[in-house]
Amino acid sequence: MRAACVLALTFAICSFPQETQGELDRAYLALRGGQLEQAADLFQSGLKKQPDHAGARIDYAYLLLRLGQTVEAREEIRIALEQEPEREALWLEYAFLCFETNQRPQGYEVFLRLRNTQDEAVRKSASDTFARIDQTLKIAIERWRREARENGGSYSVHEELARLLEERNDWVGAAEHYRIAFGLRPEKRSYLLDIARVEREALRVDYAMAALLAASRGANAWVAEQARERMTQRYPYVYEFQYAIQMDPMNVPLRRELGFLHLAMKEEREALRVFEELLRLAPEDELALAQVAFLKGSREMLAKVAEKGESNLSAVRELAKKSMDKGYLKDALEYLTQVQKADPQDYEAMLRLGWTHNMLKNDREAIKWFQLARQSSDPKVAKEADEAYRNLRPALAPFQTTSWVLPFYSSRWKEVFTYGQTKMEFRIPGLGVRPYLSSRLIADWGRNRSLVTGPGGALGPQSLSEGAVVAGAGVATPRRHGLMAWGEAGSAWRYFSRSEGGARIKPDYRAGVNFAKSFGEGGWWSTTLDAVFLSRFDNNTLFYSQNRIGQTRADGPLRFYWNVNLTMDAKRQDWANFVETGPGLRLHIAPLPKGLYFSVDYLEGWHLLPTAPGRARRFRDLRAGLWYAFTR
Amino acid sequence: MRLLASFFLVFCALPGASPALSPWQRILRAYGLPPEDWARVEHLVGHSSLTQSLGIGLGKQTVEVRQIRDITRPELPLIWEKPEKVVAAVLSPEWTVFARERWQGAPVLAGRRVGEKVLLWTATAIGERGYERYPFLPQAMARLGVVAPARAANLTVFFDASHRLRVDVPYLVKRWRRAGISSIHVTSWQFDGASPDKSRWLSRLIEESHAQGIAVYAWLELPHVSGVFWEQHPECREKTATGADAELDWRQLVNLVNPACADLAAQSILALLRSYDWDGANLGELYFESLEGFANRSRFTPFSADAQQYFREKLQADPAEAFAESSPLRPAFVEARAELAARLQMEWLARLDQLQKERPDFDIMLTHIDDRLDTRMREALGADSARLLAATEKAGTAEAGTTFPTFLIEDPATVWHLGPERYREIRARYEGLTAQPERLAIDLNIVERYQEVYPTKQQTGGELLQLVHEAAQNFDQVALYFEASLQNEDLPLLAGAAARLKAKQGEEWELGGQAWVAVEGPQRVDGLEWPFARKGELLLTAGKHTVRAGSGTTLAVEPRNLVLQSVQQTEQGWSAVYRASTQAWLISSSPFRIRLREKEIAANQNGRGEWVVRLPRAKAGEFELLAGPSEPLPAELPLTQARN
Repeated sequence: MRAACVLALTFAICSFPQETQGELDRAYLALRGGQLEQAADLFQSGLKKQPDHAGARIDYAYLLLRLGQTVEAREEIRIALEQEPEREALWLEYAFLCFETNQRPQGYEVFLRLRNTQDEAVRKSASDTFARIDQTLKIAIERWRREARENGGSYSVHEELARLLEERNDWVGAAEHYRIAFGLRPEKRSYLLDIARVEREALRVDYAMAALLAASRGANAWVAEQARERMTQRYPYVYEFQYAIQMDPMNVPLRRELGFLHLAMKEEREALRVFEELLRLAPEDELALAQVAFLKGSREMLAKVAEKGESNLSAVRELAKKSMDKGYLKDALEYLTQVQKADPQDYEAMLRLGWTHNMLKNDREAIKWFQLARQSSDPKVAKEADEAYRNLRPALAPFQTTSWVLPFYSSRWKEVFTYGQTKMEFRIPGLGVRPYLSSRLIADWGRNRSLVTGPGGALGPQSLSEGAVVAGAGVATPRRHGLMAWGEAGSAWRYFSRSEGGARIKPDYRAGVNFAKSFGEGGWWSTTLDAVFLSRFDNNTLFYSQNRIGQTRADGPLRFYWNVNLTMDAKRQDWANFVETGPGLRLHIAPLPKGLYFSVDYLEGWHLLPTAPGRARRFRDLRAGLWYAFTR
Repeated sequence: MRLLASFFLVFCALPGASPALSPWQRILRAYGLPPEDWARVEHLVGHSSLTQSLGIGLGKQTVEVRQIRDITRPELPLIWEKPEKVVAAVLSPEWTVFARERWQGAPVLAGRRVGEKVLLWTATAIGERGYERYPFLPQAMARLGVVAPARAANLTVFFDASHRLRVDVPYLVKRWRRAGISSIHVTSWQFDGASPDKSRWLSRLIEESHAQGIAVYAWLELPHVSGVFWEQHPECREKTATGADAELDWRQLVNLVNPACADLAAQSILALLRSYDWDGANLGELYFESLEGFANRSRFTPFSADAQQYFREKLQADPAEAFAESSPLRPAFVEARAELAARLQMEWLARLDQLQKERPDFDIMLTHIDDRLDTRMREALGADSARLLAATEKAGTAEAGTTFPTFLIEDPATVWHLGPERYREIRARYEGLTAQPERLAIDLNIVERYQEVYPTKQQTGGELLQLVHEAAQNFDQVALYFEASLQNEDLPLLAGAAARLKAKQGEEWELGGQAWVAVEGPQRVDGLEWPFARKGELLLTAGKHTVRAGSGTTLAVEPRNLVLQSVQQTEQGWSAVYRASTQAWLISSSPFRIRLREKEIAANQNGRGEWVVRLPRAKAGEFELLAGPSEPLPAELPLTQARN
């Protein structure tokens, strides 16, 4: 048994926070040495680490009283009482401190409670004090009730009465007179905080919340912020708005917010009712006017708001937003222009101007606004504008260079192939087509060249790689509805030509039509259709249809899809007519450039025409490679 | 009355005190830094390439700032009148963050030292007055080691004993002295009929204050006499215009119009004044209620039968008729009420004069609400400062050289929300009303204001320092109401703010009033060895001085509760002319002697081991501080006078 005690004691000593104990010990040492401020600092830091040490907390509280910090002392005692609520004498101390520090209602309540306590001395002191306080309050309340009857139009009389009633814990009575005082002097919005306080004590939580809600939406920032401190984190319910409006009927922002809340809840009829009521109270409220105009679809009212817009930009901003949301782009443009003229530093308006012009296909104007909005100090606005600017700029530049490269490995050919192109496109105003210069690369690793060249000797057009660089000049149409046409003339330089016995440089003419379109976002489908004439392929014309259907997780790095591809030609050559299908995935890793991704496709294919000897009609191919493209 | 709220608003536009100063410069000036030192503390705002290079990066978040919290008083909401959007900053570790946005925690005030320079960064501009958004800029400067070079030691505070009965008195008094407080005005009515314990407590407070060189005044708040008097003499209760006992807020008003009640009140008060070692009495706010004036009969006084009789005689009509809107009686009623207030004030001054005759060091002060800037106070309260100033001076002209009572002007609640510039304006409104302008003093109410004020309800930090600084530039004496409302964080900065340091360039100092200035090692002032010193500080008189390191004197004597007007070197030491409203003290850690009125006096040692000599109240008193016999002064030293 003794061993167990020793063990327990050792455990207790070892597990006790030595450093904290040290701080508290030092606090007591400083206290004995008359170093009061130092002792207070040590108590404070010691109690932070050991908050449950009620004894030390009480000593700290009494030290704070010696230092003249009565409010802080009261709070320390309150915490100690939460830990040790059975300490009746300490409750008495707390009640007196509440009285000293302007928390008289709390003090009154504690004295009242302590009248029935066990400790006789405490009971007597509390009873005597309570009787004295209560009698004084009764007389004062009676006197101010009389004053309120005779001089009922004085807000300060009702305020005085409310405070006395609150001191006497008559919460409902106090609420009544605070409300009257607020009614007489609505500009003194701190009454709403008083109402909230006493309503909460009266357990009328809805009224308390309504008062805080009204206070938090008012013009007085101090009161509003105090109210926000006391409110719950959740957004208020509709009925709480309605209570708050009853309590503070002239509160325009409060009514307006309720209207917007109804709109957000798709309750347009209710919203209209709220905005119309608001307009009856405040006929000049442009925001409400704008909402009513939209809800009623009245262009006359809209024009009225816009006219007044100079004086109330927020209403015009709201009009612009609404117009954009509803697709009234020309109206939006008008309102946004008005906002921007009145407030040249409104970067959000600039951004919206950019988008509106963009949606109206006026990209030259759009890019100007995006460029300006990039300077916004709001990183969100600046980022969005910057992205929009970067996306638009290439399309509007006098010339644009696009490069792409596609190296990949094919299991069917056991070979690595690389295709690439750099194309500089010129935009000449007034010219319907765009001239361009192009350089293409068609290459392979050369691992199975003998196989490809084969017994026939010469490189056949069926090979996947020509080992050539093709330089040319051409023209292309702008893309409209996904469709564009192009044609170019140039020369192909075959860098394997010596061994293969053919001419090293050959003329190259090619032309085509391309259609590309994507649909959907999460689940998507993209299709590319090409018809390409190639002079070097025996003046053949090839037709490609490449389709992908897949699923993408938002912002995810992976994209899964299914391929269905069809290739045909005009000359009905066996190698050029096949169909292939199979799954694929594409991976983009965020830190890498946006235009770079890896892909893997597994395809099953069938030649559609009888094949040359030695070539199987059915094939499988695993293709793994990367794609990189960028535009400058 | 001080605690009353009122619905009045003053819309008068005050001229800017220092149009040439930027808000930042106002803060530096109020902190007590001379313009020559301003470059040491640099202010950076928002984001720029400079702030970027100093380690303040742009974060990703934009925050709308409506409220901030400062480490100086983390529990205190600092609310901005107009919210402002800022991009949250990312600070390098060299920066100490002093304040953050309340809800998102974005830093908004930070500081660091770079060599000798102190950098303070704020996320936004600091506002027109310099304290609307970041009230604790001065505290941030203090944390970064910025020290005001001069400190005043002549502040007065009103002391509400009910808040402090359990305080450690020596600790409290010592703290006052460190804060530059030289006198306290104690709620005397709380000690009428006090228990022996409470009475001993007051005696101890006075004793301890005197030991620290702090004068203690009995603050009177007539027509309130005391709670005891109110209970004992219900027949003497003043009435409101609705006929109720005039118990308004904490004041229980007595009918002083009735001669019998006035005599009873006088007996009570004079007994209280004779029972303790008071240094003086402050006859405070002796006029009527309330700030709401005729608009609220429930608070309107005096309306006892005696008062009504007085008004009836003056008006030849029922005074109740004056409450009717646009009553023709109103102007005559207002005049009669102001006249009555002035009459009572003069009667009570005469009663206090008796006490002054018994105790020559006893001082008398008047606290009177301003009715020159906010002229509605005359109608609301019956306050008429011009009438009272004239009456007190007329009464005193019989004796040549009379010092008229200090006239402490209280700025009314209605103007508490106006900026610090108001003290210059108030001062200007009183020019010409007194033959002794130096008797004018100002009383600042440091309390929660009922107006919509930002960023704090009660003045603190930069706002408080600007108030004190501006008040001290315009009045010789500044009083603060009240002692317990002054925050621990503000207290150490008040003395610097109250100092009248005009310029400091190297060894050259220019002061508009006496102040302690920080020096290191022994110094000579204007070529003289200078004995008026304490650890690390010299007491300089108003004027220009050259302070140079030198051999200095080994004697260091600290004058307390007096103003040195001039100092001359004599064959045996130093002769000084001083002004003191009450008794004053010279204190040193070494023994010393003075010659006062031809009589040589040796300092006595007190319980702390300090050597003390008490000096009498004087308008232009003289004493000679004698250097010790072991240190005779060279005979060839010229007699020099400190330049004023």
